[in-house]
Amino acid sequence: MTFSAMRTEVLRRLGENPSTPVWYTAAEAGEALNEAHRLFALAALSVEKTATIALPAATPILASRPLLAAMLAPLRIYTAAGSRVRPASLETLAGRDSRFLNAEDEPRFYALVGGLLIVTPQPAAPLDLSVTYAASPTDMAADSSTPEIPDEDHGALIERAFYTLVSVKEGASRRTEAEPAQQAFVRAVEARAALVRSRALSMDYDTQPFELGRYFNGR
Amino acid sequence: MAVNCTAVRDRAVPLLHGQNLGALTAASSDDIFLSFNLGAEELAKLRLFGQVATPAVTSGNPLVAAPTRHVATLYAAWLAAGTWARLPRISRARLEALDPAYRTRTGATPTHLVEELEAGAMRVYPTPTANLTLLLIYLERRADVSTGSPTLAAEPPVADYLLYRAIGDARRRNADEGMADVAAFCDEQAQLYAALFRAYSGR
Repeated sequence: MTFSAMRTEVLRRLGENPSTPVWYTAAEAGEALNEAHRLFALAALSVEKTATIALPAATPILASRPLLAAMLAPLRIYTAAGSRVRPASLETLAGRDSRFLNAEDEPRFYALVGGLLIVTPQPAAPLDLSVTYAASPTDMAADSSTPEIPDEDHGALIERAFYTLVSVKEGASRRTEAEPAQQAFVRAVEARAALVRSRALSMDYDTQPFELGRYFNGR
Repeated sequence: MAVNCTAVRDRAVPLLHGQNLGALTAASSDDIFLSFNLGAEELAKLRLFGQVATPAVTSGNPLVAAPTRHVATLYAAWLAAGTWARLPRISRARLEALDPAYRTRTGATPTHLVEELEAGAMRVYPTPTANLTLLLIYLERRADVSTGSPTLAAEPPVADYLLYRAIGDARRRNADEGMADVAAFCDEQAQLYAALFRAYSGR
């Protein structure tokens, strides 16, 4: 579904004439769709990317944000030789080896905290790492652009955009009416997250999607 | 990757029923940026912003200034003969119990780091008898954003968290105009984003 078609549908749901909207604008509908797109990908970890990063010699700490654009969570890291680099907390790395920042060998563990990628052991010579990660999708801007999440989930973005716009601009008066739209969005995220979770298990990924349904049920 | 907070502020304008920023009555641009900065401080506690520093410790002076905008130290080490040796953190009460004379004890090999953050400093124990270099991996608060410096190095969904924080704060100020429910809604959305960030930033 194109961005233009989705915006039109959101405006219709809001009770606007899409060609001459009054209370809501097409730009607002577009922003709400992009926000829904980001939230969907964040909750379901459904947008995957792989990048190769160059690990310099004797550099155990790297700033990951400039290297891995819009990374939400790491999924799998391999060395160029095909060895898996496993996740660990910084505390675990320090507990295993009090001089872990000096150890030199092929990397076996990584910690990711606050945009810092800490790899140990550090390679003696520059080394490439292949990083598969869950990414935040690129914003839709052109009328013809389409979401990066699967086609069957595009409708959920319309539901969420409708829900958030009504709830923020009109408040409680229409929020009750829009609650089913939010529930539809959550169901779609959960269904996609279940598939991603299953794939993550089979691929031995390092991060599982958030349990959005459980989060709302627990409130 | 960075969030342009000016663009986020501009997204907030129609959602706060403003025709444009100048005509906005629910909040000023400064109010919105204040909400962004308060929101970014909350995010710092969720381990979103990590930093590394290598401060120098002078012989005879156990205190070193905490890095700017330091929130919490995650790991500390000192440079011993060319290698980083872990410097375990210890509370002042525990150190005092172990060594009542800890303030005046001197030694060539540091064994502990005490965060004396009320003084904006960290204490190396024992007081070093030679110059040292520390390595700190720590969480920081980001520098405040403003119209002149609107960029926040963070992932794209952080923009949505900040948007809900700003609209929620603005609507809370106007709660007598029947907007308390919008403030509550925005708080719920901000909490959802915070839960998501917490879930993925724990490692």
